[in-house]
Amino acid sequence: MNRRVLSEEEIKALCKRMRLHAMDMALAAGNRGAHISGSLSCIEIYAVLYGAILNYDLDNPLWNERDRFIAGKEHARLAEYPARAEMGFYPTDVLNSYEQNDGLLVGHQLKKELGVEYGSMSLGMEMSFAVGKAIWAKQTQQSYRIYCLLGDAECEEGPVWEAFIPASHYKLDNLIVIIDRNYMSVDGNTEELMAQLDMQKKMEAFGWESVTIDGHDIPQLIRALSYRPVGKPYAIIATTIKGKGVSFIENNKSWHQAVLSEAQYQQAIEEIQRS
Amino acid sequence: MGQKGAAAGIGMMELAKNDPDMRVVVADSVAIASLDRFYNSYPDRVINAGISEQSMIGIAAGLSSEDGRVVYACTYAAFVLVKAIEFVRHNLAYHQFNVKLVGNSAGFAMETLSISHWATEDIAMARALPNMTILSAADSLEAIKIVKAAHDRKGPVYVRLSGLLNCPIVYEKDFEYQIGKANKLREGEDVTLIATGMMVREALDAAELLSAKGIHCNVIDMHTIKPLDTECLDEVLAGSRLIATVEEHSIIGGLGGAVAEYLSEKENTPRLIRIGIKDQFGKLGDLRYCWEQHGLTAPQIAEKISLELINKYNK
Repeated sequence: MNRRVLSEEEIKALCKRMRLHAMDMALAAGNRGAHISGSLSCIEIYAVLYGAILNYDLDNPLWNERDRFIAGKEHARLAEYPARAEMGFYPTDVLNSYEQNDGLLVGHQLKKELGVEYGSMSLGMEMSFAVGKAIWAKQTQQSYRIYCLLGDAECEEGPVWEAFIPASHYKLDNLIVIIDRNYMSVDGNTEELMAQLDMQKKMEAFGWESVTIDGHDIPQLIRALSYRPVGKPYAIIATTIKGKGVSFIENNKSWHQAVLSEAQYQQAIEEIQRS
Repeated sequence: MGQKGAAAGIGMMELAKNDPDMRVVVADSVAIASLDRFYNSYPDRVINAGISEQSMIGIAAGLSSEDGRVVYACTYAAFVLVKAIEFVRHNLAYHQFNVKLVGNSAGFAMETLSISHWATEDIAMARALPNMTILSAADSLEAIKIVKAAHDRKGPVYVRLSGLLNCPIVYEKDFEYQIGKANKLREGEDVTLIATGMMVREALDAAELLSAKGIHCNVIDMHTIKPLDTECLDEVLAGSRLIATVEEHSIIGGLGGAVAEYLSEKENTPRLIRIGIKDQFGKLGDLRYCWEQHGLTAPQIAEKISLELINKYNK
């Protein structure tokens, strides 16, 4: 089976490379702008998932036993696509095709052979799909797990909660949800705009097992993502900083979708390389 | 719930015998979709999403996504398609997961529950989506055949079932059903009535009334609204002075819209009138009352055709 499992140190280095790719992709997007800050908040989540947790075989991308990863908050392609490129799903030099006409990675296309198990950029669409997959996997006695990443503000979408209910009702302990709790949506701070409150308690009230961790802490992510609940789906509330790793982007709502200038790009690259 | 809904349950029982992989997703709608017998026979094959139609469609897509198995999603037409339209567009039309929507009580069949429960623009919505097949049953027998035909049709299908419990019979005898092949139920050289759903019976009765006045009608059951049977249309266009579409659906974007779009690109075609739900929300009431407001009963259809011919052709 062709899959590398990275050490914590290697994952740390991977995160750095992913942030550099993210800046390259943002620059390549030019005047269209890119979803920068929401990608930077989930770099460690993606790095740990693809570097240490998800089971896959690069020589056989459709291998039935692979874990299924369903991306929510799909605008965070600047984190999602570099993770797979770095781990060998496709070369890193195709990353910038994500904004090219008919590009290999344009939009969010369902391409299982590239590790994209579902394609949607509309918030709130993927959770019920993941639940359907998890029910199928239970009914057909599959041993793999289904992982789904959601944004905290994405959870303002009703269908997300519509899907949380059957997930616990059907005891889908093969389903793991990671919520990127960066406390920001497009217009600013979630707790001022539309308070999400204590998301762990919410998930527990919905019949899930849940934990809150530091979403930039690699050992904490590995520990949480390695846990196997019994009889319940599992929600990891990963507290993060939107824009993590670039000082002028961190917690700054202007960078949700923004154009990166050459000078800003240089500053960002320097900061990331120094880190 | 509609007799045709009950018929759909019968159709699915037959399918389940030969296809153990088939799944049915409901939104607290086992009873609504007449699936009690199915559920009692195959409890593991029915997944209840709860009263959450968007989630129901997402779950159906997820269930079908690994091995392409057939998944039916069943509830009221107003909710299975209209309420969940974005999930239908993305999961079914775009990704083409093998999900079959069965919409019960389409048109005005939900009667006094009124606007929220009527599905009167659903065909227009479904028609605008690429890759969708749209089937509409004229009576219970055809409903069984449609539900079964949908199983073998690759990709997304929307099955539209209208009517009440005492759904009148159109097909007295067994017949061969084929998706995309319209059924000519009556022949006449003056006018062609192209009807779908409950309006097929009304159109046949209207044709009978018109025949007493010396006006002779073709009556077509256009059970497949997408893809449209253009071969059948070409045939009737050549032999009629007037074409009328009749549907329990908005005159915008439904069967009438589909036929109008087709005719608009042809030369020397007869005039088309679209009989259907006017572009307005009418008064609330029972099925027949609603039909009357939009001129959808057999005598009203006959009257309309008769006037059109007198006005235009002095017949």
